[in-house]
Formats: sequence, structure tokens, C-alpha cells
Amino acid sequence: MHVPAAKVRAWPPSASAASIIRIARWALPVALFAVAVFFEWGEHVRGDGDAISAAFYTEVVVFGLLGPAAVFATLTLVVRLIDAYVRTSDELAAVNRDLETRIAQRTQHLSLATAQLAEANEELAEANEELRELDGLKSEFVSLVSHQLRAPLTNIRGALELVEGSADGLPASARRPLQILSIEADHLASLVTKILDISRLEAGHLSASLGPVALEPLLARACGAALGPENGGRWVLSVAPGLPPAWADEALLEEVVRNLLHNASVHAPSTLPIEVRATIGEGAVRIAVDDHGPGVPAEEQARIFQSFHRVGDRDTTTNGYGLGLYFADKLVAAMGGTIGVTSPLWPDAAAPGARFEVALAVAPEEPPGQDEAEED
Amino acid sequence: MARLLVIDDDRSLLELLSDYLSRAGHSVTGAPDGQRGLVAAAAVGPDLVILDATMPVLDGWQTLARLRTASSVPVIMLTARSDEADILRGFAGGVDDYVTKPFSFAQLAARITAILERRASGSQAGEVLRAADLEVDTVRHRVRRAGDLIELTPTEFTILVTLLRSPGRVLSARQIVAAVWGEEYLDETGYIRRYVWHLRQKLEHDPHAPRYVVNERGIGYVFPAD
Repeated sequence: MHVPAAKVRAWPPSASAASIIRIARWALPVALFAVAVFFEWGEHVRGDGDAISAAFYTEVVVFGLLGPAAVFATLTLVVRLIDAYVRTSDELAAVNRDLETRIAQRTQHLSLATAQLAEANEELAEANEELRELDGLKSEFVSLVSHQLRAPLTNIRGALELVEGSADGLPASARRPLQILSIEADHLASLVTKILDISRLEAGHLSASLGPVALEPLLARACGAALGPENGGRWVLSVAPGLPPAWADEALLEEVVRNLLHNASVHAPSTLPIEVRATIGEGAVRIAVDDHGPGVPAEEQARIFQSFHRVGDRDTTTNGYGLGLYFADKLVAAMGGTIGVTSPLWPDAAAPGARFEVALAVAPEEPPGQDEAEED
Repeated sequence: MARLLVIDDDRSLLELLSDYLSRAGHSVTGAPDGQRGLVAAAAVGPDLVILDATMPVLDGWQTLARLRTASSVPVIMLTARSDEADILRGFAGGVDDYVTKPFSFAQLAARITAILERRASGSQAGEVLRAADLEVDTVRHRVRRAGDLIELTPTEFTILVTLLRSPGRVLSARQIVAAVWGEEYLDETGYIRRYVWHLRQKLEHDPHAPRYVVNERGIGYVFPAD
């Protein structure tokens, strides 16, 4: 605590008073001694011829030496106390001055740090703005390029359709390359469409039309479209009895499920079925797609839903662009749901498998007693 | 065989599409821009027009507007964008269907056939169901109530159309399930109640006193005849 120097100096008295005490320390005992000798002389020595009695000496010692000695000792103590107090006060004042200096320095440092922080924040805000602009430019560029790709892609696919219409007249050596060309053109068209869908989603042009969605028909339709007929053995669907409808966009949810199924089908062996399950848990409707593929390493799981992220080099053999899961994640978020991955799923080091699970809100139910229209 | 007019500034597409559609048995006329397209339309009198939305000078929408002043010929719009706004704009301007590039020629040919068959059977008027102040376009999946667009999910739309096609007739939940999802889901009638409740929230003026989707206690639902 800072104590003002003026208050510290309120006692002892001023420097001149202290000096008087210092002088009095010597002067007063001497004066008292002289007074005592004079007094005792007058009492015990009456005339010139008188002998000095022993009482004179005794009283001079008692009153002329012991008394002044006591006064000297007392004043010496007072002087020391004053000295100690002055010293302590000086030290305290020095500490105060030092403290004030330090506070001033710290305040200056703090101001400097605050200014630097404000500057750093400003730079960060500018960097963020630049990043946003760059991201916008990137999306715009990708969208523009994709738009520009659409027209030639339409022509390429159209030309291939024309040639395929008369492929019977072609030599066998030309038919297979033509088939590959056609598949690749379809693949490229699908990629361009997906990129444009993502651009629309990011730009807020693709909005979810939410409503109740009965999952069993939707999942069966998506499985059939992505993996072929049910009796083909490629997929197994199970839906919990009495599962309430999810609160979702039918078209977007089907797109999500198809993406997950496609993802599973390109990575998992065709000999083991992809299991699709719809359940309810923790207050949400859950759609899980389980596969027996190579799984997703733990270090990849946090990044697997990022755009253009692919697990290792695996997708180079499966024509993946790292957009399917990113798109699925964006679509699920647009419906207010969440998507996650669990891997490994099976105790098989060669094929640990993965589960992609989408959680969606349960479609709100009508308040009780509002409508009794159903068949009894 | 139908007379088709293709208007597109992409000469490669014009050539390929003309070739493809000719092989499919149609008589095809091509025009490389909107202006010449309008001239060709007047000269040929096509049964159907395939119109590119993005063209210099006179774009597809402007061409469509001029075309509509003199003709009700069906139009399929080729659009490079699939934004909802463009699609709505197209339908409002009198487009019968649209395809988004990149499209497959087979898909376009199928849509041409579907439109021409609808026209031939005279079902054009039947594509829009009207009851009370509701207007339901079954082709474009649009519902308007007193002119205002009502946004329904595909299943909600199908339930509404199912009831609307049989005004005054009570349909059981099983009948509705069969019509919407198929016979294999007959046991899932529990869905219907929740769907109807949400449908009413979007469709009815007062969902607690429904006028369009009315329940017949213990039987099912009905769209009243009047």
C-alpha cells in the first residue's frame, strides 16, 4: 500500500527539533551534573576551612552522575528511535517511489500490449476478410469454370450418345474405349453438377424444404437406386418398428443417403452387404450406413468431411474427388442435423469397416386430441 | 413424327441435337439465335420448341416472351443454371419443362415425348387441379392458395393430389399410404396422421378448422367436393 511521505514525516518532529534533542542528550546531563555539584557543595561545604565530607561525594555520585546518566540514556534511546524512524521512513519512501515507477512502467507496458493486441486484432480481422474474399472468389471461380464446362460436356455426352446409337457398326476395338469415354463423361458431368450444387449451397441458394420424412420408403428407394435391387445381396435395410418420421428435406436427405451408400460401395468389398439401419436414440432419428471396407483411420476422422479431402491415396483408385462427404455434411447441416463417422467397426484388421451416421430431429407431432381421423 | 425447333447459339449442340432428334424420327429445324428462332417458329409452326436460356443479344427468356405473344407451342428450356429462381421464372413465363446442362440427349428426348403425348391426349388442362381457392399444378409440383405459393414437400404434395383427385370421397389411411408409398407400406399408416397435421399447418387458413384436408372420424380423410 502506498503511504504518502508527508504523513510518514508527521512524527518525529522536524530536523531542527531532532538536532535539539541530540544536543540536549549531552548538554542536559552536564547541566544536571553541574547543578548537583553546586547544590551539594552549598549543602555540605560551608566555609573555606571545612573538610569535604563523604556525604558530599556520595550525593554528588547519586544525584550528579546517576540522574544525568539516566537522562542521557533516555535521550540516547529517543535519538536512536528517531534515527530508526527516519531511516525506515526514507526506505518506505524509496519503496513507494520504486513502486510508483514500476506501476508507471507496467501501465506503459500494458498500454503498449493493448495497442499491439488491438493492432493484431485488426490485422486478424483484415486477414479474415481477405480469406473470406478469397473463399468467395474461389467459389465464384469454381462455379464459373463449372458453368463453362457444362456446355462442352453436354456436347461431348450428346456426341457419344449419337455414336453409341450406331455402335453396332463399330469394330470391337472401338466399342470399349467408347464405353470408357461415355462413363468418364458421365462421371465428369456428375462432378460438375456436384460442384455447382455445393456452390449454390454455400451461396445460400439451395435451401432445405423441411417436413416429415418417412424413412423406410426413402431408404429403400435410395438403396435400390445406388446399389441395385434388394435381392442382389448388396444391401440390407432395417428400420426400427414404429420409427417416427424425421424432420428433413426429402430430396436432400435422399441425396445424403445416396452419397453415403456410394461411398460405402466404392470402398467395401462387394461380397459383404452394406447395412443400413434407421433407429431412434437420444431424441433423434438416426440413419447408420455400415460397411466392411478399409475403415477411416482415427487421425483422418476429423478431416474426412472437409472439401477435397480424401483418405490417404485410396480414392485415386476409386475415382473419388473428396466431395461426397463434404456435400453430405453441408446438406445435413442445412437440415439441422449432424453427421459422424465411427471406425473401426468390426474386429477385423484387414476390413475394420466404418459407420456413417446421420442424426436428424424427430418430426414434430400434433398436439394430442387435435385429430382422430385415422382408421380405428 | 413431330416438328421440332431447336434455338441455341452453341452450333455444336445445335448440330448434334438436330442429328440425334432426327434419328429419333423428328423433323428438326435449328436456329442459332433468338431472332432467327422467332422467324423459324413463324415459318415452320413447330410442335415443340427447345430453347437455350443463355444466348447473346436476345436471350432465351426474351425469345420466350415474344414467342408467347403469338403461340402457345410447348417449350423446353435448356438452362445452364439450376437455381430455383430461374426455374420459377421459366414456369411463370410459360415454359413447359426445363433441363439443366449437362443433360443427356436421351433424357431430353424422353421429356419431348412426354410433353407431346400430354398435348396429344389433350390433358394440358387436367395438369392443373383447382378446388376452392387452391390451384395445384401436378406437372410442376406447385401449389397456390389464393395466388400465394405454398411450399410443400414431395410427399405432402402427393397426399394433397391424391385427395384432390377424388373430391368428396373419403380415403382411408391405408389407401393414402398405398397411393403415396406403395402397397408394401400398408402397415405404416401411423405416418399419415403426422403428415396430414404438417400439411394442414402449411396449407390451411386455420389448421384447427381445416377446409381442404378434412377428417372423417374413424374412416380417413377427404377433400370436400365444395
